[in-house]
Amino acid sequence: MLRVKDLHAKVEEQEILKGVDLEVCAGEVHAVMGPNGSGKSTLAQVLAGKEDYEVTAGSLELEGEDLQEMAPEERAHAGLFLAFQYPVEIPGVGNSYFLKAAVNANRKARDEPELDAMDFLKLLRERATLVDVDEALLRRPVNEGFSGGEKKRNEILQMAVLEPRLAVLDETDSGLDIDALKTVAAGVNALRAENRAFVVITHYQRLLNYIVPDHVHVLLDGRIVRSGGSELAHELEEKGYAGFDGARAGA
Amino acid sequence: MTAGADTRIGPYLELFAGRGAGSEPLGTRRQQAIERFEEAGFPTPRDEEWRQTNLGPILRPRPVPASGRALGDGVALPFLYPGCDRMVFVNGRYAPAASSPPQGVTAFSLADTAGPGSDLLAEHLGASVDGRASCSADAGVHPFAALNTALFEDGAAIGIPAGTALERPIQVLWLSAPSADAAAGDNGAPVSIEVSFPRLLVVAGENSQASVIETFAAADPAAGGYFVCPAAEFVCGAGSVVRHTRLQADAVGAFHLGFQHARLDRAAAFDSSSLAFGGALVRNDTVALLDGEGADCTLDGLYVLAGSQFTGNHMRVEHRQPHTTSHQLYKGVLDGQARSVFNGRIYVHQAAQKTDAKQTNRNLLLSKAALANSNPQLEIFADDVRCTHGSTIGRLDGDALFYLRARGIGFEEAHGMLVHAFAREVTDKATFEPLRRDLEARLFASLNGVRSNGQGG
Repeated sequence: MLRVKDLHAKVEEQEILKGVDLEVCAGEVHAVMGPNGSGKSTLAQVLAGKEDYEVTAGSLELEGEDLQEMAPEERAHAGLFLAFQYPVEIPGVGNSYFLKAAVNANRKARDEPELDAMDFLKLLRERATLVDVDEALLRRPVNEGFSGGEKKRNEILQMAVLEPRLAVLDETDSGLDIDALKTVAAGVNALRAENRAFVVITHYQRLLNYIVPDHVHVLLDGRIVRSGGSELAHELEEKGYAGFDGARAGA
Repeated sequence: MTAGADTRIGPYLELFAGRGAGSEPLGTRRQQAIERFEEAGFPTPRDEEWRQTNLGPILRPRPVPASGRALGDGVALPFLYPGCDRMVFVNGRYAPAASSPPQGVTAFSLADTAGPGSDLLAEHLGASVDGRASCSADAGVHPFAALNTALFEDGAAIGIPAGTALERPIQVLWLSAPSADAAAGDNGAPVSIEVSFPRLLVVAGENSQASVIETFAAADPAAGGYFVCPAAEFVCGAGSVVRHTRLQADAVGAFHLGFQHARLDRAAAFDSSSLAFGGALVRNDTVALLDGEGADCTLDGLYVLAGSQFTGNHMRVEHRQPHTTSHQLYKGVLDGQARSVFNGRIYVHQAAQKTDAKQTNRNLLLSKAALANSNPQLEIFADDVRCTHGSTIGRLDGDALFYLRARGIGFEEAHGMLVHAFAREVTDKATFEPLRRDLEARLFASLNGVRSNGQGG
């Protein structure tokens, strides 16, 4: 589904990604783990098409289509979803209005009929229940004044409503207490499906106790230095990232 | 500057000479006003308050009273809100057939100076504008307010009796329908310009409540240059609550130099929203005098500009008594080569302890060539006050734009959503549903205009 090959990317003349390879198939959950500054969030932003990042080499494909040729909205239309590490507050735009605009923009791009207010509301209520989001949040402006946990839950709600093929979760666990973490993980697990894949980017192993990955990758200094099964996350938890320096040297 | 040096005032003095000062109670005031105007002349670029307002295109052509051309009352219909009492003026003249003045209220056309409201006029009209009773030392004479007092032919006077709460808003429509074939001179510039001087007086008695909606509009939104020079006075009695909306939706080529003045007595509340959508050159000068303990004034505004439009808002809020509060929120959206000026002066007199004043001006620039000026000016002579001001001039938040696009919303739609969200903070204040819907529609239309106009610049 997702094929990243030898991806190099820089921001403000500084090279952050130095040759990332990653292949994700439908139905799989991949975890990308790494310390601060290893390039995790850059990878997420490059996938979603943030213009501040420049891809200098390598390729990005979603379902065989070249993502680099696509605007951020076109990537969404193709089924890509990024749950932001720092969801943006948008005063004056109602959460539910925003979600309806997003759903219908995607449907329109895919030549599907747009949802009317009633059908959308039904969908929204159903998904809000699924990911345990209070309806009061739907009436407020997008993320404005939301707590850290509310913002992350709102990201998961958007994912549930937009039904992406590939969801990239960028440190969705950061700033969450254990209860919020469980809620968010339960939301993600509820959305796991054969035709959907996840890339879960995280600093800590903790989230992976609740969202159990099929594959774990260690990102260090802009490269994936090791890949393995879910046991790799536990190894990381015990040894820390320092233990992988040797692997980097050999890579 | 000496009067003799300003040749631009001649045609306006002739307009006055042609009609005369007229009968009392206004005759003396009109005479005094034209004398003050003659003495002061029109502002020049050397006048600090007028430095950025280019009066050339307004003052070069010869002024011709718009009221010379009558129009059918029907032209007003598209601009009227259901559920309102209303007074309609077309080309500066009262249109009684299109009007339905409120009951239980003194409301009359100013052409009728001998009518039942003459006491109201004698006591209030022009008594506090023109810099006379109004301002502290440096406020001076407002030349266009003086011109309005001297030259207005008609207007609306509304007196709300003490203790009366009006349930229905009063809409005052000032409709311009300029001649389509303005003569052009050798260089293509018009030789004459149709001018009108709308005048509004609102006197709210003690503990009364009213909502007044002023609409400035053109029968043809694509009409060429005409000049509207309105003045409005609000006299807010003790404990009164006056809501005011000033919708400026003139034709794209119009010139609009407005002056409004509010005087608030003890515990009075004046809540005014000024929305500027049209016009080539628009300026609105607002003076609010908090003249009684506990008076509370809210002045909000929005301007949405594209092309080479210019809008200036010049505010002067004077706290003269203790425990008075004022809140100002002005927001601007500018595209193309549009320019705006916000001059916000808050003057806290020595007696006005416990003043609470807040002023915010936020500008959103959508093009490189657009230019917003924001000049907060605080003059504080009391020591126990809270005065804050904030002013921002910025561009659209790139992170927010990316966030919306990452959810599949296209660039144009995402851009529109964000600009709209910025502006609607002011339009959302309208609680009267037909007004709110109209403001929403105008905002939407003018933002779309901003987008399409902006693409060339």
